[in-house]
Amino acid sequence: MKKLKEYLSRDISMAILFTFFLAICVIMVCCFGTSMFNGQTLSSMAFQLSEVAVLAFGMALCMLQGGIDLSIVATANLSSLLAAMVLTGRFFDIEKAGTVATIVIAVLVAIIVGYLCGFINGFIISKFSVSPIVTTLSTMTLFSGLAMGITGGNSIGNYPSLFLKFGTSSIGGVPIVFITAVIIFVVLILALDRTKLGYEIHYIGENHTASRFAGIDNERVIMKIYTISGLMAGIASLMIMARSNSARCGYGDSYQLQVIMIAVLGGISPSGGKGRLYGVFIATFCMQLMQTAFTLWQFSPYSKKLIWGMMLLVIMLINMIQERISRNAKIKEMNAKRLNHAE
Amino acid sequence: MAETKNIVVAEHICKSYVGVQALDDVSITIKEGEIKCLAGENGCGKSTFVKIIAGVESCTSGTILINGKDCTKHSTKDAIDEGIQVIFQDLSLFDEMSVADNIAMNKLIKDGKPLTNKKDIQKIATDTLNLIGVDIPLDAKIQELSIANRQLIAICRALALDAKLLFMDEPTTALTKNEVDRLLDIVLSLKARNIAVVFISHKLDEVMRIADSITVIRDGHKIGDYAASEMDPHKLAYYMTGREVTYQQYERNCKENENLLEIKHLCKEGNFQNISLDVRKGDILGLTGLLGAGRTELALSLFGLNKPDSGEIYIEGKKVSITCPQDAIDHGIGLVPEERAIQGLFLSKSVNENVGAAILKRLTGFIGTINQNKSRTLAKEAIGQFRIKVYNEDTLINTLSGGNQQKALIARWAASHPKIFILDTPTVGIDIGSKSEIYEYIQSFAKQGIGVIIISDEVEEIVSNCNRVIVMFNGEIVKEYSEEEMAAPDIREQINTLVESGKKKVQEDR
Amino acid sequence: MKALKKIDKTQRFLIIIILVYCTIVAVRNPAFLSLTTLFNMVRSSAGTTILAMGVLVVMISGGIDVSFPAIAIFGGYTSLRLCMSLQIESLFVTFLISIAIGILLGLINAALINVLKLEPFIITLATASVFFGIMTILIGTKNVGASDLPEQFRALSSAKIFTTLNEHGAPIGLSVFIIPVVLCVLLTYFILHKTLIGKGIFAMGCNNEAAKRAGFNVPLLRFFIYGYAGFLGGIMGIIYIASTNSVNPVSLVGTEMSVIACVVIGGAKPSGGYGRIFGTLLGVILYYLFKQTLIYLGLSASWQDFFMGIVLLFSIISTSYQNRIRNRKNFIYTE
Repeated sequence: MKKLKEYLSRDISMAILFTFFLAICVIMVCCFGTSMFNGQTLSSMAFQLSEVAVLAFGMALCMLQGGIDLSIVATANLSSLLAAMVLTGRFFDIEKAGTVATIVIAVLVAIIVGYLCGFINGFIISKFSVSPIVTTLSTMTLFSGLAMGITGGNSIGNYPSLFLKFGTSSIGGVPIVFITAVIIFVVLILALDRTKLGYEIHYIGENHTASRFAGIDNERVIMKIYTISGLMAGIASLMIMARSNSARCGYGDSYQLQVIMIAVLGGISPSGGKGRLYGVFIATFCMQLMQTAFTLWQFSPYSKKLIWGMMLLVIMLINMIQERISRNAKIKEMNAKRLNHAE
Repeated sequence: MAETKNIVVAEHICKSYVGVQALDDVSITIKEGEIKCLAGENGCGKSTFVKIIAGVESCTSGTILINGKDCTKHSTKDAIDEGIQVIFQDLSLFDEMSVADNIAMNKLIKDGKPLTNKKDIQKIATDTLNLIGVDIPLDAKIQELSIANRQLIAICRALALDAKLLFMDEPTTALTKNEVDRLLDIVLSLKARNIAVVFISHKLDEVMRIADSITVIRDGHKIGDYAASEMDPHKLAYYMTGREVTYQQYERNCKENENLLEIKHLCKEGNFQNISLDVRKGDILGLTGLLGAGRTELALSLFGLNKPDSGEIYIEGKKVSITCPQDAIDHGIGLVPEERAIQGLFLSKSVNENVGAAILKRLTGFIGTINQNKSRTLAKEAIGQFRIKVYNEDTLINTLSGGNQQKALIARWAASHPKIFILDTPTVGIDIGSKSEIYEYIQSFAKQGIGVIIISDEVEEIVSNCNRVIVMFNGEIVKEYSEEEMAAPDIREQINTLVESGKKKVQEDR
Repeated sequence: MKALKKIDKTQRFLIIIILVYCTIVAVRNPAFLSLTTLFNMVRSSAGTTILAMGVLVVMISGGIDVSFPAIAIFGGYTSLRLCMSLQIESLFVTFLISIAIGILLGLINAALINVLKLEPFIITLATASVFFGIMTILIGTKNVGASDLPEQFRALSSAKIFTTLNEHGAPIGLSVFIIPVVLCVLLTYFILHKTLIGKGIFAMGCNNEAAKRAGFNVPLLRFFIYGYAGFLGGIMGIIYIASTNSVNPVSLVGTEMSVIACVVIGGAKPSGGYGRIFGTLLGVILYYLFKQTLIYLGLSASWQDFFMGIVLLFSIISTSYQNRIRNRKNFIYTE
């Protein structure tokens, strides 16, 4: 406990996040009683949160480096649509190929499309020096435009039931998608904290000129980051498809804001270089708890958006105030030291 | 003589940033029609003082009276309204806008007319350009101009309106002698119109001719006010650095004489032409010259950040091509860059992470994982070896003094075991104590057989640390001093005059 | 000749694309070359053009705004509902309400950016949801059919400046929408190129710190910039409502990307400091060409975003790459 306290006092944005998380839990218990936290609701929350969490990891990675990936939802949509077309036999006869082979191909298609989309982002950002916001806004138009063009706006649904199992079944009450998300989370955490690539991402996020002068290949690292983000979108697209049994362009548009909000709430600084992935996972839980509460309260989707937007603003405000306080404290401390020294 | 009015009375100004005490109890008075020189080494707090008077930054404590009014918490607009104009060191121009717009901008804001008119703007621009007698197309964008022309535009912008007090923060670093002379003439004519001018500089030979008084700042403290007539370069250097600077001159005593690094006819358009030089084991080669002479550009080329157009680079006799910093590191080249905070440090990371940044490859083990223990040990060793004053290796680097930060950067590159070690202006903004320590480390590198290149514009630094010196001007090598020539007793004067004559030579060419 | 010199590379390139594209479409389907197409395009692009002017000003100042569709619909829809319930029939008052709301919301954006000092993108992304959410809570999201629209909206919708006959002898007319569009474009031109504020906007986009040092009150300028974008949003809100038959307040949200795309394709630098009104107009023209004429090429209109995306990518890549090369020369390294 003492250790936790020490840790939190060192990392203030983590402390804020924890307080926030506890506050939500308390409020939820007050409003809905403990029925909120029974196995069934928890497991249904775990189903929903997995896809958002995976998208948030991708976003958080980009933001850690000082960029942003606005095309992440569009990428997920595009890959889910193409995978859906495979699954429903638009490209080849699924009867002949067999269900298992079709599913494998569909999964590969989703992942490869995500990978390619991410790679395109990374390539444009690193090789042509287009700013991440502008690049990913443009590719967002491109990817969703392609999805729109291919489907004409229609949804594609009704996949083989074997495929749907990925999105709907659980192992010992824990959804498979959630397990997938946790595995990805652990891999990413280890990669960020322990590997060369992780170190390089942190260095570039902190000061990209200095990292270049220290011999880090910024361009290669940035390409990797956006490619990973695209991969995350590809994986999330499979989760979404398997859970909802349909794919449609424009699906999950509200995820854009949510995912950015989760990253910022999770302590990733919007100006880059600071933050940990742990926070992002906790922030996803916060968001899902709220989401569930909103559903129980029967909020309209617009009021939900309003709340997400408000929250994003409030978190940024809190972060700003906290930063200002700590900066002033540092200067004060220094002045005090100096005066002592003078005496 | 009648009592002259004080324009600015600044008293007990203190300014702290996170981790840095930039100014400590500095009091300066500027009189009407006075030409003052604010002298001090780079990073001593001169520019911070100007920013505070100009209202760009606010001081932590102290009072400022401008024209008798209390302006302690004033804005830039207030300062401009009181007739204060500043030529900032970074020039603060608008790159995408035209020359005319840039020159007229300050006058437009001062006049405050809501509507603007292209004719007026062009008239203001032509008038001021004529005033200093240069011809620059009015429609050109700033980003198309050379650094020297940009400096001229910044000067024009400040001259475009009748200021009462003009600050010039290192305005002549890229100007030729002619242009500087013309500028000084203008300053004298401003003085005749009772306008005060404050020069901020760390190189004063030109300015001392016309200055009335000199105020010296060192490490954020004011050392004193002196009449220009009672000052000479030696005295000034003493006040600026705080000690009689005589370091032991470095002597190479390495037996192996084959070239470690050899550059043949290296060219890069707009940066440098036909550079040939060589560095042997144990050499400390000094590169000096004015801003824009091509020194830093050359260093960046060696480090893979500035691709040369033609020419060859040999390392230990083998021809190499260096297209990126990774190549340079693989070939054993290390570079401590010019701008410590921007190009060197990861300010909110620990000393450990800063020291380990260039050797990630060596720290990486099985499946790309970083060996954190090894990194920690290396950082601990570095802290001991370079006497970096920190609590432990997890201390954040931005809490360190400039000198200790620089030592950490040197440690970073020392850890990469370079064969060739380039240090670009390694002691800018660093206190005297750390400075001599850094010299000691540099010389010990050379004694271990590393080839060192120091880029600097402090002649003293060059002379005492280098066994060979190259003077560059306008992208060309003007002269190379061999070890024998370096032994001459008047070597400092020789180098100083060469920098000057290099200037003259090019002027005749123009 | 002098006018030609003023047209920069991007714009020349755009003109060529537009001409080539028009030729292809005209060859495939000669019906394209008619006054009807032109008048239709003018009418349907009116709203986007007005919004694009606001985005252009924001972008020149180095910022970005994605909340303007929310602002436009907030202003327009509120004004509509107010007029309906209060029986207001004055067009002037209708515009006034919408514009007032637009300016207010724009000022809120500016205030937040000034206080939080963060990327305007993230802030306006948040405010977009907030504005829209507040509107749905306060006013609702009820569809308003054409027959329920107040008189002044219907009048505005059908008013023509002049009417003529097309090749089939049917009457066609140039919508009155062209008037606010021209006024907004002229006003933007005037602000950007004839006023001190305009110089400040450019200066801010080039170098925020230097603009401060030169004596511009940057936070105040920002209030003006985002307020102006809100003002244009307010105007657009009314025009948007008048131009659609059935008002669905949800429909406008999500169109911000296409407007930003028009401005960026028109050569404005997303990093600030540079942008041309003429280029932006060309961008809008290209967008509506794709939107209305892909069908002549046998493609469904759903492909327009894809083509827009390609042109957009091409245009950002070419400008940024030139910048990158120039920056490298000055030893500024960007990724």
